[in-house]
Amino acid sequence: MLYGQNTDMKLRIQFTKHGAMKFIGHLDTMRYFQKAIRRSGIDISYTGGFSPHQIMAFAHPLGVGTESESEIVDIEVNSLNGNRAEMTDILNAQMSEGFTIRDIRLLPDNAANAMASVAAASYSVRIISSGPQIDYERAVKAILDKEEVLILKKTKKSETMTDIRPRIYKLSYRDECIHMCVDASSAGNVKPEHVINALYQAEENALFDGRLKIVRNEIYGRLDSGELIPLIDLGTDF
Amino acid sequence: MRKLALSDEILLSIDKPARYIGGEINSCIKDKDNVDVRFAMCFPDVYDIGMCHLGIQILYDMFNSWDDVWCERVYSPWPDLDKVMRREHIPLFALESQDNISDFDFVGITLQYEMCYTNILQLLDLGGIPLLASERGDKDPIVIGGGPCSYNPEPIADFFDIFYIGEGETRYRELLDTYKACKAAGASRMDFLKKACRIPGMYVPCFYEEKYKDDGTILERTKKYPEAPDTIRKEVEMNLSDTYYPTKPLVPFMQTAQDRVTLEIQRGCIRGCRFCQAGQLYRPVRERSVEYLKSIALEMLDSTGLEELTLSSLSSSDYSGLEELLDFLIDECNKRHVNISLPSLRIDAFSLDVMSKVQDVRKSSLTFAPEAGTQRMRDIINKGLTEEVILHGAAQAFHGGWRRVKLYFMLGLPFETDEDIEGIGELCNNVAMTFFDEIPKEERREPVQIVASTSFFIPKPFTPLQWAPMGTEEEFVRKAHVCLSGIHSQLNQKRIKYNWHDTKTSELEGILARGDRRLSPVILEVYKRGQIFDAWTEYFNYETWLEVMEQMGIDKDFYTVRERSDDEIFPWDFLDIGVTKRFLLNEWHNAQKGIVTPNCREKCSGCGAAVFGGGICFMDRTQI
Repeated sequence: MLYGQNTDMKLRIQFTKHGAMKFIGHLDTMRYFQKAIRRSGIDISYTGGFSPHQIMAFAHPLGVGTESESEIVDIEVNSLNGNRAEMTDILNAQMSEGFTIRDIRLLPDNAANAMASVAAASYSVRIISSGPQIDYERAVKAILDKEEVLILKKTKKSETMTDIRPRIYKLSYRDECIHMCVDASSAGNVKPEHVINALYQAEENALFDGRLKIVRNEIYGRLDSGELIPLIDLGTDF
Repeated sequence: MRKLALSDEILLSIDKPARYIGGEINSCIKDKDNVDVRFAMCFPDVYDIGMCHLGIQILYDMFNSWDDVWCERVYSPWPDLDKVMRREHIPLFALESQDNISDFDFVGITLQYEMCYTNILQLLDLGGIPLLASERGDKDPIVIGGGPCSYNPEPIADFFDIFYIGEGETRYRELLDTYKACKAAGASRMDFLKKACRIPGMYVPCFYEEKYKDDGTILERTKKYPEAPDTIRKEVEMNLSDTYYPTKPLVPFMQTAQDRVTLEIQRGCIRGCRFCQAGQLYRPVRERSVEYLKSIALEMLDSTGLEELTLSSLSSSDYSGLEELLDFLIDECNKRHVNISLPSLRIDAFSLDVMSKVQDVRKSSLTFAPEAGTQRMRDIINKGLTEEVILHGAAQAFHGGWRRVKLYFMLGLPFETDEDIEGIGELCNNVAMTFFDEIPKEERREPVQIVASTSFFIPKPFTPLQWAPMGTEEEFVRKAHVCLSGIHSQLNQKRIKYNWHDTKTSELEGILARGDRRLSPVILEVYKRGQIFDAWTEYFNYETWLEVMEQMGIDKDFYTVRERSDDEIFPWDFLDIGVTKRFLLNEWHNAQKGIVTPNCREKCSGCGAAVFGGGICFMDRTQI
C-alpha cells in the first residue's frame, strides 16, 4: 500500500458541475479547486519560486453555461490522506452546492497528462428554441449518412470550413435530447454547438439561433487498441 | 438546488454571471421563517470590488452570528444587467436567498467613496424602494448608511432613514432589538426612528433641518423632533482583540480585485497628516494583540484556502508588534505556500529584510509617499517624511538589489507654489542620483526606474484642511503640466515616469465631500438622467453633473474653491468624532505657519480622542 508513503503520486479527480456552478468559468473553476484542496488538507505538491503553485491540470475546459457529469482534474500529491473513498469524502466536504467529487483514482507514474490524454467527450444537448423547429431524428440520420459535414470554424484571425464528420463518433436523438460523442482532443476538438449547427444546416441550411442546454457526460481517453475509455478508468483504486 | 433570481438566459447574456449567483464558500444560508430580522448589506459598486471590503465581512459575520438575524449581501448590478432588470422589471435581490430586497427589514449601504452616490439610488430603485426617505412607508425597509462618507452624510441625507456613525461592532445589537420591539408592538416607522435616534451613534436626518445665510453658508441647524440629540458621537470598538472578526471570510468563485485574507492589525493612525481624513476619523489608535492576530490569521487561511495574505491598517510600520507578527506570518505562510502581500512599510533595514524574504526583489518596487515635493510643503501638511530619509532608504534598497521606486504626491495643496510642484521632479531626480552615486557601474545592468504619481488634493471633512480651498479643474491641469515639465527638466528625466489622476473626477469628489443637503436633489436628478457608476471612468459623465447643477442654481465653486472662514458652521459639525473642531482649527493655523505637530507616540497634542478612554491616549509613552 502506498498509504502514508512520502513520494510523488498522481491522482485523478472526477467531479460534477451542476446548477449555478455552470456559470463559473474555466479559470475560476481552477482557482476554486486550488482553494478547496488547500482547505481539505490534501498534501498537494507545489512548484518552487516566489509564487509557488499547485501541480494541477484540468483535462478539458468546460464552457460557461455547460453542466457536466464528469470533469477531470489531475493533481500531484506528496502523500495520501486516506484511501480512495476517504479522500473523496475529504474533498467533498469542501465542495459548494453544484460541485460533487465522484471519484479519485491513483494514476500510474507513466500516465500521460490529463489534457494530452483526452480523445473524446460525450454530450447531451437539449434545444430550447422559439425559432424554427426541425425534425431532429431525420437530421441526425442525414448527418450520419453524409461522408462530409462542413462547418464554418471561426478563430480570432480567420474563418475556415472544416469537415467534422470523421470526428463525430456517435450521434442520436432520444428523450428530446441530442446525444453525441465527438472528438475532444486538442487537435480536433468538436464543440457540441458545431454539431447542432450542422443538424440545422442538414435540414434547413440555416444557422441555429436559440439556446442550448448542454451537459457533458463523459471525457474519454483512448487505449492502444483504439477503444475509447473514460479518463477516470485509466486510474486505479487505492 | 437554490433557485436563482435571474434566468439562465439572462445570466448567459451578461458579463461575469458569477457576480449574481451567491452560494460562495462560507456564505450564510438561514431559514427566513426562523429569523426576526433580515438585513441586506449593500456595497454600491460592482461585486468584484465590493467583495474585497473587510468592513462588510466583519458585519456579515457579526449579524449572522446572531440566531435571530440573517444578513445577506447585495452589490450593484453592472450596467449590462441593470438594463435587463429595468427592461424586464426584475427586482434587485440579495445573493444568498435571491429574494427581493424590498422584503427585508433593513437595507444597509456602505459609503466608501463619494463617487458611488448615484449607485445608492440605483440599488434602491431596482429594489423597488422609494428613493426619498420621506416617501417610504411602514412596509418599506429601513435604509441605513455607514462607513467613511457617513461622516458627512448631508449630501445624501434625503435618501437615508438612519446613518450609523462610527464602527459597526458596538450598537447594532441595540438597534435591532429596538426594531424587534417596535415590530412586535406594531409601532410605525416614525415611532421606530424616534427610538432609534436616541441610541448612541444613530443619526436620523429627517429630524433636523438646515437654515442658510444669504451667502449660502449655514446659519443654524434646528431640530424638528425635540428629543433628537444635538450632536451624535461616533461609535468606537475599544477592545479590538476581543470582538467580531470574520474568521471564515467569504471565498468568491470569480476573481475579484483582491483575492486574499485580510488581517486588520490596528485602527487609527498616530501620524496626523493634515490632509488625511482617516487619520482623524479613526482616532484613537487601537492595536489588536499579536496573539489574537496570529490565531485569526491561521484560522482564516484554513477556512478559505486563499493563497495570499495581507495586513491592513493606515500605517502598518507603526504597529508595535510588527516584527513578531511578520516573523510568525512569514514562517507560517512559507509552510503553507501562501504569499504575503506586504502593505507599504517605512523603508528601513527591517522592512527591506522582510521584503526580500517575501518577494522577488528584482520584480518588486519600493514605495514612498512624500505627498509633496518640498520640505516647506511637507511641513504644511504635517507629513513627517524628509528627503534625507527617502534618499537614505532608497540607497539601502538599491544596495539590496531593488531597482524600482514609486513615489506618491499630491497637487493642489493649500499654499502650494510652482516651486513646490517643481520640487517633485527634483526629488525624483535625487532618488535617481542616489542610485548612480551608490551603485558602481558594473552593478547597474538593470537601470533604475522611478514612477511619480500625483493625485489632486481634495479637502475632506474633519481634517485640519477642511477650511482650505480646493483647486479648479483648470488649475489641476496646469499643475500637472508644471509637474511634468519639472520632471522633464531633470538630468535623469529618462529614468522617471509620471502619472496623474483624472481631474474631473477629483472636482466632483470635492463638491460631494464637503457638500450639504442642497446637493441631494442634484444627485437625484443626475441619477434620473441615467447616470450610474461614476467611479468608473467609462461611465462617468461630468457634463451631466454640471448641467444639473447649473439648472438647479447650484454653484460648484461654493463647495470647492471657496476658502472657509474660521467660524463657519460646516454641514458635518453636529457629528462628534472625538477630535475637536478647536484642535482641527489650531492645526489649520499651524499649517498656515508651517508648524509641525508631533505624532501621538511622541507627544499628546490634546486632539480630543482621549474622550473614548483608551487606545494610545492612555498608554505610557515612555514604554512605546
